Parts: sequence; structure tokens; C-alpha cells
Amino acid sequence: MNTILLQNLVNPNVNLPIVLPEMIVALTGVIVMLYDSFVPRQRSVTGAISLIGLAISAFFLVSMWNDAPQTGWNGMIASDGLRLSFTIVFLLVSAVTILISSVWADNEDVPIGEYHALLLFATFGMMFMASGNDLVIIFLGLETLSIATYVMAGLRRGDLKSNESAMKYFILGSFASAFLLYGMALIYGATGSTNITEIALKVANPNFPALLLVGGAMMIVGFGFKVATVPFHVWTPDVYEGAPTPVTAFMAVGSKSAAFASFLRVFVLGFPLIAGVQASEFLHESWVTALSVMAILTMTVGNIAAILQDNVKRMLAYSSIAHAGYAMVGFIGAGMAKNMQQRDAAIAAVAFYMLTYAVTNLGAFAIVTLLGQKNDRRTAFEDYNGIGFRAPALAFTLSLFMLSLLGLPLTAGFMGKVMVFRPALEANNLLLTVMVIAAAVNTAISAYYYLRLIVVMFFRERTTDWLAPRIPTALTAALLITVLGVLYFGIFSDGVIEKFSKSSVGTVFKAGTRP
Amino acid sequence: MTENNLLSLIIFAPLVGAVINWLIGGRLKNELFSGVVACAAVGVSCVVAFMIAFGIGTPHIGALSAPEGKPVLDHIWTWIQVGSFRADFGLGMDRLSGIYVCFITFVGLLIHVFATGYMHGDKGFYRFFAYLNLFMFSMLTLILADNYLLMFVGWEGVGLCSYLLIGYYIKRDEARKAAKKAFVMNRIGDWGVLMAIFLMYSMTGSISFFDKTVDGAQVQSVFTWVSQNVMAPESFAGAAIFAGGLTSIAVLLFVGATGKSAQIPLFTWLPDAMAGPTPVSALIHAATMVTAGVYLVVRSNAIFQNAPTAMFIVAIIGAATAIFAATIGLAQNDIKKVLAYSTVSQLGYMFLACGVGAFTAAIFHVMTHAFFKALLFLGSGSVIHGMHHEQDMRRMGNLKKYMPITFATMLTGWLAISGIPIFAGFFSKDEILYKTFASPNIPEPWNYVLWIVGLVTAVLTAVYMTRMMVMTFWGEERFHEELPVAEHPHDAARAEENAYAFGDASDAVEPHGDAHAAAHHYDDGHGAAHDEHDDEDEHHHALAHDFKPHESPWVMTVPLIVLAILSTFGGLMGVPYALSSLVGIKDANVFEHTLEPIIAKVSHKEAGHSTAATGEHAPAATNAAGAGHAASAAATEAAHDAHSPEEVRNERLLAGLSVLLAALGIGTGWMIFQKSPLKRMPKILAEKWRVDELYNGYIVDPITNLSRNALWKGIDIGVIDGIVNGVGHFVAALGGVARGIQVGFVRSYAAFILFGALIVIGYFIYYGFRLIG
Repeated sequence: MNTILLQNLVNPNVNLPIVLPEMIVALTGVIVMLYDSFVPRQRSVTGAISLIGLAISAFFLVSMWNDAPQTGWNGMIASDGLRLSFTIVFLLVSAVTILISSVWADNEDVPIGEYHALLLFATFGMMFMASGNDLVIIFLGLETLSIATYVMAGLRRGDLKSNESAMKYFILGSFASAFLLYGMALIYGATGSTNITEIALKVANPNFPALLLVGGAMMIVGFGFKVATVPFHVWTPDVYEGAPTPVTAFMAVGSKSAAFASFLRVFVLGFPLIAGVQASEFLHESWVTALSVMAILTMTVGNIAAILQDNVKRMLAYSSIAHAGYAMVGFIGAGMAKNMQQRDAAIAAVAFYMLTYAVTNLGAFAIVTLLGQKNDRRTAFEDYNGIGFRAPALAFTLSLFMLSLLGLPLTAGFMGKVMVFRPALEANNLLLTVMVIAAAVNTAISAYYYLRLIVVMFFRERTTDWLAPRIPTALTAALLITVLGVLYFGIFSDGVIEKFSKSSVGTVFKAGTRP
Repeated sequence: MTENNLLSLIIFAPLVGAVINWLIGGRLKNELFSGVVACAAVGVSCVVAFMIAFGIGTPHIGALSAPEGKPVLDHIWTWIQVGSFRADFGLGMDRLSGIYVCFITFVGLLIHVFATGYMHGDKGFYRFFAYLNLFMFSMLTLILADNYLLMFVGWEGVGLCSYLLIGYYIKRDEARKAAKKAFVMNRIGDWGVLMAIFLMYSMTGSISFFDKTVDGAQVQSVFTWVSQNVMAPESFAGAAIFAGGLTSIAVLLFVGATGKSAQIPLFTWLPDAMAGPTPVSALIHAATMVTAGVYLVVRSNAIFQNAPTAMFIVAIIGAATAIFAATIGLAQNDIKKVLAYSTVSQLGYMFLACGVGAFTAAIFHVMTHAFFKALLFLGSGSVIHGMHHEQDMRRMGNLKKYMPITFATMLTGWLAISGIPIFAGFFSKDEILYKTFASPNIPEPWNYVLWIVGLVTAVLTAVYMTRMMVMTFWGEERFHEELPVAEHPHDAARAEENAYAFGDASDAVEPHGDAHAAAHHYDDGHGAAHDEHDDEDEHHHALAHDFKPHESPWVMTVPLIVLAILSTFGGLMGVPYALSSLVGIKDANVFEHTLEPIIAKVSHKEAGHSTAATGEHAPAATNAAGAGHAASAAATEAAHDAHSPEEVRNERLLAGLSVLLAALGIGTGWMIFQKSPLKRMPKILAEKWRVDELYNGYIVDPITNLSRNALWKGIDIGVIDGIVNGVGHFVAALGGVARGIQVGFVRSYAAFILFGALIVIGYFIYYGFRLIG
């Protein structure tokens, strides 16, 4: 026994190439931090360095796209469809966030270098959440992400709301992390392993089956908090409203996608349904049922609350809750898949959904940032009155994003919804069908508040003076990327989906129907 | 499978032209720039189309001579792929679309060139050409699409462009209403096409036109499915229409065709569409778009041939429209309206041809019609231009003295449409009439009835065209004539009555001039350069006493000349055997070496095509009493290959008869109208059989009333608004609860999360206990 351990220590299965993208992002973060401490008066150099770092990381990520699914570092890191597709979303989100925040950084006195470094560390954490094939790695990634975002939310030091946002996020986030960690401990207790592949094997014959269930429940709480599903969503509106808008965009899109990546890996790949094994059946049935109910609640609560908001940022916060609900439809579809191909297709669908949601929402937040002016003072619906024909380019672009969030055909939002609803329908299960119907009804409800913004922009009279803001270059780039993304993913989605549909690590899959 | 990526250039070149004109032309406001861009864009399409069609400089054999009518394909991108449903953004040029593309781009190019002269001085010059290019893009998409759905995109696109161009003179009430009417009428037809596509997919699992391999997957065409799975034509019975089979599909497709190609009952929009600029009338409402319906039917001939009921309906509607429109055309005074009704009538011929199974003849007539009708329209445009935007023939006369080129070219158009031998219209029209007479798939005596209707229409056509020519070019000059009836109170009342209806405040119900003519004139903008004074202030009655019409500039006359040549000789491309043998040429295909080879191959191809589509079960169907497709295929083949002496004799006899009748028509027209060009025509004809009034009274008004009183005031305000408001109040109340949760204290949030966590964990623990217990 000892010799085996020693062997592992001596030869720890180092597979550097597999974590190269993560390493590059981390390294870029360190470089940014160092540069900022020596040249503190810069406004854009660190942004440029960050973008270059992200691009290099993306390059290495794309270059491993055609490799077969593999693991490294003694199975702690996985490189498969789930990891690759989600990671590319993270890198995109991070890059666009940097472009958006250039506006904010110019207007206000924020420590920009620090901000860029934090953003990169957060991205690094997110990437490990997608590539971690071990509960410990996932937790590390999640904490790296969380701590960086706590700080970013409070970056506007002089602003009470920003402080409040950071504080609330920190306290509640720690609370939820405790649940997650406890859940992981219980799973370890039940299966004797923290490796997800091994957990999946052990689910068929766990040491302590009941612990498995309780551990699963605890982890749902932890991930549910990060994803912002009802009833663990309560922090979202306050935190999103108080944080600087670019950070809100990053949290609403980036953190959420990252949480989905780990959530998917742990539950879909770690807790598969093994027919004939009672523990596995119970675990599977309970998490699918619980998540289905949560998904329905999440969409409904998010949408209804969004209707009532008078503040665009808060409206988008609630809308992001609703969108988490839609993404969960695909997630549960992956859990109910009948074979490996269907499962991988459903995982790819969720990743694609997050991609479409990312481009759309980032675009919307970019315009909100620009129009919000200093300290995000102008984010009420009233502030958008009648700007439609005074700044037609901005207004039409924002309208496009609203239509995509709504899910109008030919926009990315539509294809995203189609992709996540399909696996759920293919499962041929009553609960899942009900969930898809609820999602469709909710989409119809959401038309109210998305279209409201368009109506306000184009059909309301403006009483106060308003000058169309100058659109800075970086923001133009961000808008260009997002608009093209919305249209491209809406019209030519096939290529991307095909690229995303790579098989995932996780060979435990025994086709079985639920009792 | 032949691939050629150049194919996409044909459709995208006009799109690029439209975008450039819209974005850059709108700023430059330079006529030369806009004109050159637009013409060059269509020119590129035209050149590429001919290259691919004839295989000039392409690695593959030309689409028009490819064996078995195999298409040249260009897969641009996969548009939709969901489950087994597949729609590509892909193009395909086979012999049918090849012919269409060639004449559309070529005639389109001529019309573009003509328009640079006609629209000279117009304020919206760039906008006009942007629309015109956009139209070419849509039309070429329609024709080159390799599946029904993409074709439908083009179908909708041409509808949109037609709407934009009819309403081009946006300040004119008449134009706006006509545009709206055209759009609504077309929507009714579009419904049919969509339903047909749905039904087709649910039946065959495909919407593709061609068998092809895309991304390694085999795609089977609708027609292959039909040929493999339909063993015999559906029964000839009214019930088949509603059975949801091929007959239903065919009828629904034809509903779409009646809308786009202005057949009964959806024809009334086309004459009103003449409110658009004349080049538009020539391009869209005579040569190209309106023949899309014929294209659709011929493209789907494999379906139609298995649906004898639908074929019969097509034939009846076609013949009825032909004669109906011809009678109206007799009594119109607006030169463009005469041509518009003539177009409707000729389209009727084409559908008659489709209905009797002579798809080749239909396409042949589409092409010759594109030549001579574009010529006539452009000629009328030249006349209108020369007359400073006078469209009323009662104030023309003796124009041959002033506009010799226009006169000479329109002369050929006149002879062509009247059916005088050698000229293009003769051969195509004669072929249709003969095929109707000899049609094997129309039950007797209906084929004779249809044939007689066709003959009468031919006479009427000759009469009204002669009337038009005589009133315009011969006789005395009536430039300053007061028109018989000036403004009358009745008109205002009618206009109001129709204000919310389709609003066909058309001018021909009662001949009147002043108000309307002034409206015609107002805002026409163009032509200002030719007038010394500002056109907008000008009034017809203010035509100077020494006013002389003038010949148009060369950019307008050259296209006329080219079209005149085509109208004269274009028909020789498809001389039937019975006639060619008269001069000792035994095989129509021999014409290949002297004339353009495409048309001879068309007829060949069509025969081959329908045989290919139906050949597999030909024996069975022939046994089935010769009803339907196989027999018609056989008949087509017989006409081309067998040439039994009896048939040849019949065909020659009938041809002689129609020449005689055409001469009779021209003679009658000449006798009557040469003497009294202003002869009052029967009132009911001038009022177009009061069809618009019928539609307004029995369809539009009731719908308006129902919408206003029941749907709007009753259901919308009462029920729907009530529900919406109710839901709103409910949501607001719910939101109050949600807000109650969102108090802002961290401790209460934590409590809430804990509460949720307890529920989730409790639920899992319940399972845990079941596991243990």
C-alpha cells in the first residue's frame, strides 16, 4: 500500500498541457498585478494584457478541441466536451467584460489594474470549475471565483450600494459554500472518493447510501445558490443592482455558467442512473424531481418579479434568474438522457444556451453601462424614455438584445431555447414535459418586460434633456462581438452545436428507465 | 452531382447592388453612380447565369444541356436541421430554373437600363434602384432555391419588393392603396403555399427539389418520393381536394399561384399595381414575378400530374381568367391598364397550358411573354415619358410621327401578342391551344370548351391590342382634348366608402380625368429634366399649345430594340414539328445550330423530366384508361417523337385557324377603332365587371364591420383586454408577495435560504429513509 502511494508521489501524473489554458490565465493575472503595482497610473495597458492572455488561452483551448476526452493529474482534471465548450464561453465572457468595463473605468476612479487581475483570477476559478473532475478541484475553483467576485462587487469603494452588495454577497456566499462543502464531505463519506468518475462507479454500491442522498441535497443547495435558482436566489437582485454594471454582467453570465458546468458534472456525470440499483435510482429520481420543481419555480418567480421592476438593472437581474430556469430544463434533460449521445448532446445544449445567453446579456449590460453614466445613476426605465430615435444605433442594438432574451427566431436566444427544450421533450416524461410547457408559458410572460424596454425607448416622450453618449471604441468592439454573436448563433447555430457536442468523461452509463 | 459556387454570385450580386445603392447611393444622390451600380449588379448576374446555363468557361457541362436534367448545385449553408427536417440555403440550377434565370436576368438587365432613362430626375433615384436590385435578388432566390422553403423566402421577398415598388410614389394615395391591396391579396395566396409545404413535408418527409448529398447525408427530393411511392394518380373527384393527399397539396400550391400570378379570384391587385413606375410594371408585373406562379406549378409538375382534379381546376381557372381579363382589357383607356389586363389574360393562358399537361408550352409562353410584354410595357413607358406622363390613350394619337422607334418596336410586340406567325407569341400561344385541343387528361368535352375559350380570347386579344395601337399611334393628335367626363361627385363618395377597404379608388369605373390625372402627375417628379418648367406644378391641361411629344433617349430605345428583336425571333426557338416540317425541317431540334439551343432542349427536357418522374409506373397508369400523367407524358413524347400524320394534320389545321382568327381580330379592331378611336365601350367592361365592388361589398366590408364591432369592440376590448388586465392585477398582487420577501436584510435572506435548504434536504432524507427502511 505504502509503495503504491509513494509511486504516486514520485510520479504524480503531471499533464501540464491539459491545464495550459488555466495556467496562462493565471499567469496573465499575475503579470497584470505586477505591472499595475509598478505602473499604477495606467488605464488601459492591463486591459490589453488581459485580452492578449485570454486570447492565447483560447488559442490553446481550441487547439486541444480535437483531442479525445482525457483526464490528467490522477483524474483530477478532465478535458472533454463539457470542459471545452464551457471554458470557451468563460473566456469570451471575460474578454467582453473587459471591453465593457473600459467605459466604467474611464468615468470613475477605480483601481483598474486590480480589477483586471481579479477578473482574470475569477476566470481562472471558473475554468477549474469546468475542468475539475474532482470535488476538491471544483470547490477550489468555486472559491477562487467567489472571493474574486466578492471584491469586484465592492470595487466602487465610495458607493454605499456597492459596499452593501459586496457584503451581502460575501455573507450569503459563505453560507452557501458551507452547504456545498458539507455536501462534498458527505459524498466522500458515502463513496470513499472525491473523484467524480469514481463516485459514479461507486453509486452502484455505496458504503452509506443514505449519506449519498443527504450529500446530494446539500450540494444542490450550494450550486443552487451560485446558479441562483429559487429558493436560493434571494441574494441576486440586491447584489446585481448594487455591483458596478460590468461586474453584474460578469456575475450574471460568467459565475452562472461556471456553476452550471460543475453542477452538470457532479450531478449528470457523477450521479447517473443505474438501473436495478436502488440507491442510484433514488438518488437520481430525487435530484431530477427536485431540480425540475426548482426549475419551474425559478422561471416563474424570475419572470413575475421582473415584470414589476422599474430599474433596468434589477429587471435584468430577475431575468437572469428566469434564464437559469430555462438552462436547467436542458440540464435535467441531460440527466434523463437515454444514452450517452443524448446525454452529451444535452450537455452541449446547456453550454450553447449559456453561450447565447452570454452574448445577449453582455450586450445588454454593455449598453446599460454606457447609458448608466457615473455610479450607474441612470438605470431606471424612465431614463430610457424616448431615446430610441435620438440614439438609434444604441436603441436598435438594445432592442435586438431584448428580442434575443425573449427568444425571437433568428436570434441566438431562440436557438438556445430550442436546444435546451429538445432533450427534455425527448425524455418523454410527464414532469419534464410539464416543465417545458411552463418554460414556454414563461417565455410568453417575459415578452412583457423585454418589449416594455423597447416601447419605452421608442414610444415614450422624453421630458428632460438628453444627449446621446459617445460610444468608446472598446465598447463598440464589445457591441460588435455581441451583435454578431446574437445573429450568428441565431442563424448558423449548427456549426457551433456540432463543435460543442463532444463526448464527456464519464463512462458510467447504463441505460435504464426509471421505476 | 455538379457543384458550382458561382451560382451564389447570381443571387448575391443584386443584393450587393441593393446594399450599395441604399447605403452609399443614398448619400451620393448621383444618378450615374446609382444607375451604373444597379445595372452592373444585374449584369454580373446575367453573365454568370448564362455561363452556368450554357457551360461557358465552367468545368462542368452547362445546366441546360446536362444529361437527364441534372441540376448544378451550390450548397451555401445548412439553414435549418431539426430532427429529420432539413432546409438548406442552397441553390440549384436545372433546365427549368436555368431558362428562367437566363431570361429574368437578361430582360431584367434591359429593364434596368431602360429605367435609368425613365427615372431620370426622380428624387428617389437611388431608392428605386435599391428596390429594383432587391427585387432581382428575391426573384432569383425564388427561382434558384433548391427547396420549397427557400423558394418561399424568395416568394415572400418578391411580394415585399412588389409592395415597395408599387407604393414607390409614396405621396400618391392611389399608389399606397394599390400597394396595400397587392400585399394583402398576395398574403392570401401565401397561405396556400405554406400549407402546401407543411402538408408536403408531413407526407413525403422532404421539401427538397433535387436528390442531393449534403454533408454526407442523402437528401431525397419530394418528386423522387412521389415517383417511388405514388403508384397511380389520385382519383378525379372533388373529394380528393380535401383528402389531404397530393391533390390537396396541388390545390394549395395553386392557391398560392393564383395570388402571385393574378388569377381568378385574386387577380384584382395586378391592374392596380400599375400605380408603380412603368419599368416596375414591366419587370415585376409582366415579365418576372407574376410568372412565379407558373414556375411553382411547373416545378411541382410531378405532384400535379398525380392530381387530375387539381389539373382540371388549374385549366378551368386559367381559361376563365384568360377570357375574363381579355374582355376587360377591351374597354380600358389607360394604356398601362390595357397591358395589365392583357398580362392577366396571358397568365391565364399559361395556367391553361399547365392544366392540360403542356408544361413545356407554359414555360415557352412565359418566356416569349416576358419578351413581348416587357417590350410593350417599356414601349408604353416610352410613350408616357414622351407625353409628359399622360397615360390616357384618349389624349394620344398619331404618335408614330413623333416616336418612330417606339412605334416600330411596339409594332412587333403587338404582332407578337396577337399571334401573327414568325413573331414570338404565335408559336407559344398556338402550342397551348393545340395542346388544349388534344389534351388527354381533360375529360371530353371540356378540352373542346377550353380550346374554344382560348380561341375567343385570342381574337379578343388581337382586338384590344389593335385598339391600343390605333388609339396611341394612328389617327389624329388629341393631345389637348377634353375628356368626356370630368370630375363627378359620385367619385368622392366612392373613395370615402372604400377608404378603409382595399381602397381601389381606381379610375376606370367611370372615365374621368381631371382630379385623377392631376394626381397622376403630381409628384411624379421625374421628367422634370425634360420640361422647362417644374414638373410638379404642371397640369395636363397646361400642355403648351405647341406641345410635341418627343422620342425617348437611347438608353430607353436600345432596350426596346433588343426586346423587339427577341419578340420577333424569340419564338423560333420552339417551333413545333408540325410547323417546322412545313418548311422541310423534320426535327425541331435541328434548330439548335441556327438558334439558341436552350429552348429546343426545354421541350425535350420537360418531356424527359415528366417521363423520369413518372416513368416507373407508366405501364400501370396507361392501363388505367390513360387518365393522368403517364398518358400526358406519352402524349408529349408523341408530339415530339412520333408525329403521327393525323396529329400533324390537326395541328397544322388548328394553327391555320388561329392565324385566321388573329387576322380577323386585328382586322375588326382596325375597322372599328381606326374610324372612331374614342368609341364608347360597354359600361360593364369599363367597370371591370364590377369585381372590385363585389369584393368590397361582400368580403371586405363585412370583414371590416366584423373586425370593428365584434372582434375589436367585443372580443379585444371586452375579453382579451379584460384577461390581460386581470392577469396584470394578479401578477401585481403576487409581486407584492415577492417584494415582501425581498426586504433587503441579510439575515432574512439567510433564513430564506435555510428554509429552502431544509425543504430540499428533507425531501432527500425522505428517500434516504425509504432506502434504509
